[in-house]
Amino acid sequence: MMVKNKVALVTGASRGIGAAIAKKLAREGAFVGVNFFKNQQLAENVVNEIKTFSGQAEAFQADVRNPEQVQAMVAQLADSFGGIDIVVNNALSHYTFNPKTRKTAWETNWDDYQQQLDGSVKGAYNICQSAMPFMKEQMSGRLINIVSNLIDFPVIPYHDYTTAKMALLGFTRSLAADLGSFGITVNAVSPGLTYPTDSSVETTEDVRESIIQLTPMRRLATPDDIANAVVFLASEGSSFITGQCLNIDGGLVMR
Amino acid sequence: MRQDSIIMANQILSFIEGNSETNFNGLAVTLFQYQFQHNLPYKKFCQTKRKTPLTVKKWDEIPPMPIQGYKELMLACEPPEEAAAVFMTSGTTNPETKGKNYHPTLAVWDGSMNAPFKKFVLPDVDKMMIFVLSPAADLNEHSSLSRYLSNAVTYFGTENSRFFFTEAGLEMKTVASALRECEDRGEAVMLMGATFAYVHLLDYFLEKNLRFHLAAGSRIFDTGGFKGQTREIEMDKLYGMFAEIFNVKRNMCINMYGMTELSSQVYDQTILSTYESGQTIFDKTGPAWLKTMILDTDTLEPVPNGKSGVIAHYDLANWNSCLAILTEDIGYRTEHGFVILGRVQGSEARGCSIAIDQLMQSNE
Amino acid sequence: MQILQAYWIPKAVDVPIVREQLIGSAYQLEYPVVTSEKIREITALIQQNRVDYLQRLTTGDIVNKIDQAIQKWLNPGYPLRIQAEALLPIITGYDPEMVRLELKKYMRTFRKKELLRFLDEEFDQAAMLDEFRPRKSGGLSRVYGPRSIFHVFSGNVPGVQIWSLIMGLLLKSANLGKTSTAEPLLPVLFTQSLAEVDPQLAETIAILPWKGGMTELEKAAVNSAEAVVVYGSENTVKAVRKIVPLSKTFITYGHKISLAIIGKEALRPDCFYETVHKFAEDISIYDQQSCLSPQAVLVEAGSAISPKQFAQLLAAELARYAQKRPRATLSDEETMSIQNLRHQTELEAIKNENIAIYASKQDTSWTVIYHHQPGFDGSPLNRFIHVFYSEKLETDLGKMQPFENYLQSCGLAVSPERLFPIAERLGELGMNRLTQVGKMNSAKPGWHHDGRFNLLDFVRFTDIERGLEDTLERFDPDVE
Repeated sequence: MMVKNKVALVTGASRGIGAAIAKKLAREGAFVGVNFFKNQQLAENVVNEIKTFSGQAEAFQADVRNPEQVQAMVAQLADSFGGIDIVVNNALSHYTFNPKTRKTAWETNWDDYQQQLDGSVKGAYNICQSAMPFMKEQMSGRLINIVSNLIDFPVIPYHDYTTAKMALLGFTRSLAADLGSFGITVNAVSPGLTYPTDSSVETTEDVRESIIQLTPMRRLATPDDIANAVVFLASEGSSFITGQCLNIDGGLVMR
Repeated sequence: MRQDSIIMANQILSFIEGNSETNFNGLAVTLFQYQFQHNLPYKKFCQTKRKTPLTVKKWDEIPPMPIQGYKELMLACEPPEEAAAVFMTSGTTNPETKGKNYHPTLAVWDGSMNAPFKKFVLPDVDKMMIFVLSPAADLNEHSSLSRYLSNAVTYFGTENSRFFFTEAGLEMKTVASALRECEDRGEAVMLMGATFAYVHLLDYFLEKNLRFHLAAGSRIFDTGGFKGQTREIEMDKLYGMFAEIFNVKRNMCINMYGMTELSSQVYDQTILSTYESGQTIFDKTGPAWLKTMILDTDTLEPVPNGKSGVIAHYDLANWNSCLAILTEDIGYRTEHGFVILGRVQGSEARGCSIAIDQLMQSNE
Repeated sequence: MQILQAYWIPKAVDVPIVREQLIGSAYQLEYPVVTSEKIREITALIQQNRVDYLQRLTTGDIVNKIDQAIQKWLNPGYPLRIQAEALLPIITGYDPEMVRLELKKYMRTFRKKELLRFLDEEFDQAAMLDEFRPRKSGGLSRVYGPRSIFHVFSGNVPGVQIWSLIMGLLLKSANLGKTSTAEPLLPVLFTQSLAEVDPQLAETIAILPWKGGMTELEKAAVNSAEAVVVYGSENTVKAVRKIVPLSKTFITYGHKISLAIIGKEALRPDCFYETVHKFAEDISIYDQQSCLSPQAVLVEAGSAISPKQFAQLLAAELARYAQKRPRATLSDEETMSIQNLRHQTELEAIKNENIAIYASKQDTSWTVIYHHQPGFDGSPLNRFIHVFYSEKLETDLGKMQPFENYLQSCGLAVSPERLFPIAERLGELGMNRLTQVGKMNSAKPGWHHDGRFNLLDFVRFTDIERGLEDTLERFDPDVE
């Protein structure tokens, strides 16, 4: 098991990529805090599924944009499991990925940007601020931020979403620079279009096909593909990797 | 006692009596869960080690409490003020703070003492004449050794067994005349006491030029060794003198190793092995509900047989405090059990830096 | 299989020897069987050789010869240096790379220019060691070193023995060194280098290993010497003191404690890491066995990293250092001393949130104890450090007072205007060396070792008074 007895927190873990990451981490031996904002039932389902294979997990409600709620959640998690080793910032403000109804650059207003920045960057910021003292105390920790390969290749220009994810990458790198000396690594995972998830259902078949055409590995990412990369970055295997962004998109983006 | 404590104590007792369905590991893990739940300082200690009932699946994963913990913390699952007995360390190292082990009931402690005592000390007889050289329980209610000695006399002593330690100290003259009587009657006798108690007695006998030809079956029981006492003689020398002065051979001498922080004891296998096979095994061993580990002093991981390390005990009878304790004694494991080398002394620096142990020494 | 002498005696003496395999190497070490008679025989001989030769050399000659020997050691291909680099790590347990770097650094401090500086530091004119020299106030003076010095070396931090021998040579004394079994080799190798430069010079030196506490031998050595210098623990010093008559010069270097003081200026965002990094090095070099290494540090709050974060960062840095240069393997006594103090702290931390422990998980490689209050404390050594919290350093310096009999070096990192007030206070408290963090282990040549003179402590002066000088002029047959 790659992360045996480690304590992990995955935000936005009630479904999609977040749920897959939570489950994978649990399978690899971690105690997983499954964070959700609204979907308690879905989060409980994830926890229960983890328990079916004798994994350890617990659901935690918190709006990642709210510092008090985040602080309370992290403290509770650290208290019940004795620390916090792995944080996966996966949550974001609600977003509809629909190529047909998306807002163009001239339709996107600052509030749209702000909303995405709040979910992706402020959310990650809140979580990291709360988790950092625990990780410094342990002189180790893994912070993993989920970005998107749209920041390198905006196949569909979801302006507000992509801008926020790019900001999250900048956040990742500068955080890595300051936390390395404490033994804490900070990395990003950049998924390509991941199917099936709730976010990608509205992406039309032709867009999916065109992405597949451009992808060397000739398929879309699955939630498990992303979860595997996250587990790697959370494990001992990545002990000397920090400030990196790992593209998980079958080679669509190469850099 | 709380209901779950009664259940826990009874489970341990039936294991000791050999009536338990569970194996050592199963009971150890259950007991760990119980202690994790009810012994709050121990729980915190475990949490800092990231050991919880969720992660501990085997007895050797249970984090051992350093014996200093019995001084620093209140280690008890049941309320300490309701304890039937509290045993305290003699506090040789720091008289200010004594290590305390609380016993809500003495049933488990007594049960844990009796059967191994019979097995290791009296494998050949049911009862015998016992002369005790150290204080009885009525003189020192907080000493586990006194309780032990009193129990030995109560359960295994014949009618005229007696204690020779009074408020005035050890009555050596009386010991001599009592031994002479036994010698005359040809009755086997067992002397029992702390190791250092013998030092004074032997000095006295040597001075008065007293020698005894004790009857066959006589034996000498000592405990504690020489740690921190004023006069250290090698154990071998002591046993040589036992032979010379009492006519008791090495294979009828037995050293018991017990600690306030434990609820079980371990013994030399001298008398047992001699009785069973005629071969004498000196190495120590304990009852089935106590497992002893030798840990590397650097990594605290188990070491192979023959290599020295610090001793940890996993004692199911220690149900109210911590079943796993880490001692400050050094020893090594053998094919037949283990050997105790004694407490680690403070270290001196190899260079010109003064080490804390020396600093403390020079401030004493 | 190579055989190596772990002793040095004049050629004319014959001693029976025993050989011992040096575990983990292809070397056997040869030890002499030392008796009181042999010691008397050897000291008589080296003293005679001194009279016949060393005493007649000028200080300048001696400096040149030592410098030539040191020059050899500064060559990476020098066979004896290679031997030392291979064997010292095995004998002492220190990391080979650390030994290599520290040894090199150490030898450089004995270059000619440093030796001259060292002499000048203590004598107005070093030539006073050779002849009567005029004094500014009139008259003339000459300095005499002891006819012979008995050095009791101890411990296994490589180097200090060489410094002691060099002092003896500069004073034109015959030198008998008793090495500890923990590190018998380096003084022998160095003497061998001197022999390569000048065989006659090396004939005034003897290096003998024996187990300390064999009082007969020590008495023989003490009786034959004019001065005795002892390095070691309080117990060692006490034991030797008992057998040294009051008439002899007796100099002791007991075990010491060093500390560090780090101000908020050194913890600004642009320099906190550098400070931590250097400090970790101070702790790690020779595993704090050298008394120049810090055992505790007082850290000031109010900058980019709090004292607690300093402790955490220091712990992470010690972990990195341990990966680069592992600590020596310890005895059960040493590891248990660390374990016991770790346990004590862990248990205290359960009750008291002002204490925290950051320590290597797998073994006892390194330990940081954080105290959220001002103070200082001793450590069981071997990369074990206390970090204390301070609101304002100046207020808390007095906390050193309980250690006043042992204080030695203080690593200091504060803004310049704070230096003198702090230095004044530290001086009063008994601290004898203030140095920058990161260089605590490298005392400079000519420093006042343990706050005292070095050569001056050994010598006696003979003065020719001005009046005599003038009066004698009158007796010049040619005077008019």
